[in-house]
Amino acid sequence: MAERWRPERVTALAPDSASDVAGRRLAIPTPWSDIGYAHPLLWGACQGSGASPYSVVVDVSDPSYRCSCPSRKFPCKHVLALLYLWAEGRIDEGGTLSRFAASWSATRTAGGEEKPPKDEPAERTEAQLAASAARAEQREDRVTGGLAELDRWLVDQVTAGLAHTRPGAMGDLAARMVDAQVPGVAGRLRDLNRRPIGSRTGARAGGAWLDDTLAEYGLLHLLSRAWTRTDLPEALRATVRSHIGFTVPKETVLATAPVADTWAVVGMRDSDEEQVSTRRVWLYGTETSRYALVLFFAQRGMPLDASLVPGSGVTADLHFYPGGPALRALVGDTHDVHQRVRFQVDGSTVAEAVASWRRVLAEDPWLGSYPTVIRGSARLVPSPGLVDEVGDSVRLAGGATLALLALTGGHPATVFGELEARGFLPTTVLTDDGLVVL
Amino acid sequence: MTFAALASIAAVGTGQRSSLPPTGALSAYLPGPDESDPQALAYALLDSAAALAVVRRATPATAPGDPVPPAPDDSLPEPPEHVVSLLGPLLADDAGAIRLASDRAYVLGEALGLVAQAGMRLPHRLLGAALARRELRASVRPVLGARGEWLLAQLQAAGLDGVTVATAGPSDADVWERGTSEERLAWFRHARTVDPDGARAAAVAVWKESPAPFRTELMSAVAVTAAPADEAFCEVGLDDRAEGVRFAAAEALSRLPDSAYVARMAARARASIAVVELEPGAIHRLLKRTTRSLRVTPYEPDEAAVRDGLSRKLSSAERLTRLVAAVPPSLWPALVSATAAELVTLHQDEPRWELVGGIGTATLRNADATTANVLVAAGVMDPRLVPLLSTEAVLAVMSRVPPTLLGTVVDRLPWPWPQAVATAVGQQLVGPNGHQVRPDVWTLFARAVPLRLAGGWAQRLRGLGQPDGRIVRNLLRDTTSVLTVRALIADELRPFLPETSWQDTQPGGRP
Repeated sequence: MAERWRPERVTALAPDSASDVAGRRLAIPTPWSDIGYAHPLLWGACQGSGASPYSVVVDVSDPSYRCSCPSRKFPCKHVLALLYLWAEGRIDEGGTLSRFAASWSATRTAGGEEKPPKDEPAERTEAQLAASAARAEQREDRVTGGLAELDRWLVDQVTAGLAHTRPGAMGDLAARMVDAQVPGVAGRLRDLNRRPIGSRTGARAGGAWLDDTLAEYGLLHLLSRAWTRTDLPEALRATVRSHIGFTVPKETVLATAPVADTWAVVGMRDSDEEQVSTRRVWLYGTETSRYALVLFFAQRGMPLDASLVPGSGVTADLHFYPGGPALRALVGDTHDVHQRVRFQVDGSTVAEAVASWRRVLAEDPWLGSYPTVIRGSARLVPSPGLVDEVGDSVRLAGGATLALLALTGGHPATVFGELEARGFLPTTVLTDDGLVVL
Repeated sequence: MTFAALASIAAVGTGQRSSLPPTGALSAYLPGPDESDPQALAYALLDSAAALAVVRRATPATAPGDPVPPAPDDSLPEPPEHVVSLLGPLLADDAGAIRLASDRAYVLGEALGLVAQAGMRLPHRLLGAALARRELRASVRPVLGARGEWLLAQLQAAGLDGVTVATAGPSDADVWERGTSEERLAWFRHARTVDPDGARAAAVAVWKESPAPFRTELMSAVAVTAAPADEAFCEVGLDDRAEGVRFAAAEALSRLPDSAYVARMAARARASIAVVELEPGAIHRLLKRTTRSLRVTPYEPDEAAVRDGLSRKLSSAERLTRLVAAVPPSLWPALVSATAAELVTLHQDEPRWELVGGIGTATLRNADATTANVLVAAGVMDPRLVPLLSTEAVLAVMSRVPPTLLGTVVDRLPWPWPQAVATAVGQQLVGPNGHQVRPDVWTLFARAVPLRLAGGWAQRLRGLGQPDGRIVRNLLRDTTSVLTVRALIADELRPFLPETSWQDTQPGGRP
């Protein structure tokens, strides 16, 4: 029998939290009948609100799935519930293959639902290439105009005083940055706009809001100035372009030299922005000791790619985007998938981790956080922190502090996480059995 | 220049300034502004902000402090993996298999109790979620294990797990000394359950300076846990200037059958109530009715009776109820040569409801199950008596009430229900008149069915399919889910549970 999924992987497959909750609510034997599993097919019938139960079938190797319910969510709660039951060990190998599952499987085998082959980039004509170049030039002009407007706006804000910031002002500017095709800047402004404006009285008006806003204004100003510089090294220029929001064609990235390794998934964070959901997955190369960031995008309400869930691993070729530090990558050829990956790593000391963070900040001052692995003991007293063997500490931040304390009991542990100004945000702990998600 | 100093300038605006402070080491990298141009000053500030922001971000926050000893090893085993997979969402209060939060809380409490009975502990990965919910502390504590106790100590030492009303204990003197009124009352109520004499002494010490509402709450807490040692304190309460305190003191004293207060009330009852023998007439002989009758003389209170709570402001019926309620049912034969049950069934021109109510209250105060059963057998329908009734008596009451009132009866039954009661309620719910039963009876049923029956009832409810009506379908689904999860957890833990605990009791109880 193939390796059973872990529940975290099912969670990652859910198109949204509502579907996940609905799926887990159905993940009890009550509504289910005719369930069974014969690798790679998993099937069952779930009694819903209709007269007859919904037929559900999942191919766990792909994964692909089908349910007879009319839900527009994909996968629907019935698929998720069946996967949860299986992941929790409540469905064993066996059972009579339902007609629905057999039919679906036969259709797939016959090629009825096979995914269309990926389009090879069509060769383009001279005219198309010229039009494309013109569009690129036009965009660069728009970006130049947009960033100039951004810098003027920043100067106006600083001249008038941040204490006079109008609520929603950054949202208006973000909209103009979208028009100017500077989506990276627009996203940062929207993030800033979401923070509640603190009290605007007194010399230290607004406290943390003031500090954070000024820091972000400074970094946006730096980005705007960097765009106007023509003498930047190529890597830094690529970094600037990526923060502005220029994309690099997938085929260009895949054409770069691959970095082959068994990559452990050491962290994952989902976020929703306007109509797009983003999944940020941190990978660690168990042989190369490199870190990589893989991004997945989906329309809100649609499932994000769930092939990389924390604790699992993949033996694959990664292709890194241009820019420094080389972090963002695409997964190329995949050679093997591991539900659980076991490896050894000597965690850094706090000083080593901070030194790495400083090095990458020197390359990319706009980077929000950087993955790292620290060997240390977690504690809460006198404040939440991770203390390494030489006694240096870094503050523990984020929502996983209590889980880290519970899992490690204050004993030295190898902890993966993200380092940033607030401190260290732990994501996974490396144990003899592999990575444990916090 | 520090970032904070830069932020202060930015808050006011460079338009109000003619220069910026020196940027120190950074000045080697940053161009100096043309200070005659206000815009150049703003640019210079933004340049400095960018540089200092990177410096600021490059220095992650630290957490200095002395080393903390790690957690000791755990010796208790973890529950089976299936139980853990069900406990996880329950502890996280995720709307997983069970939709209603109150159902989840109940099932979780029961499951944690079973885990404790099985001599197991929570796996380490669930401790964070378990300790993050302070309202669960009492039920989580027995299954924390060594790691969990260490983590709790860390939380408390870090000030991240302040003393709560739920965890306040008699040793938490600070709460009593400096807490809010609500916290102090919580402390007092808790202290009364573990050190009643110490708690009473604490109340006496602050009695005079405490406001009337606080004194009333204290005395009410004493009434709930009254013991003979409290008698003197409660007698003083009868003379309190606050009516609430006097009332609560009378309530407390009436729960002490050997107290002087009860003796005084019994004496008044004997003077006011009598059972007299009538000359049997033809009609009595024909109807085979008793010739005994009840004679109630309206009681006119003197000063001592007023002190005992028989105020002149009360109607004579209210005084009678209060008087009878203060007399333990077991005393009536000695007082009037009739049992409490006879008093409410003697032939009268019209029922003396105040007498029935008073005797019911006295039965409850004295937890007199014998009298409760006799009263119900005699036709008294007082739902308050249900917790004292035998299973047979409960079934008898259930058979006499219409489906619409079934909830009123079973609502007061302690959990788990006896098997026969659970079966009877279940049959009512799935019977032809099930739709008339109050919806909350479904919720009660899901939680109060004994564990050994939960799986069977879940199976039976599943067999009902999809009945008409969305409300009924939802009730059925929720009830089935709760029963299923309860049964799954219990079945997994059953091999580790003492047989006696499985057969006769179950943890959790009524919240």
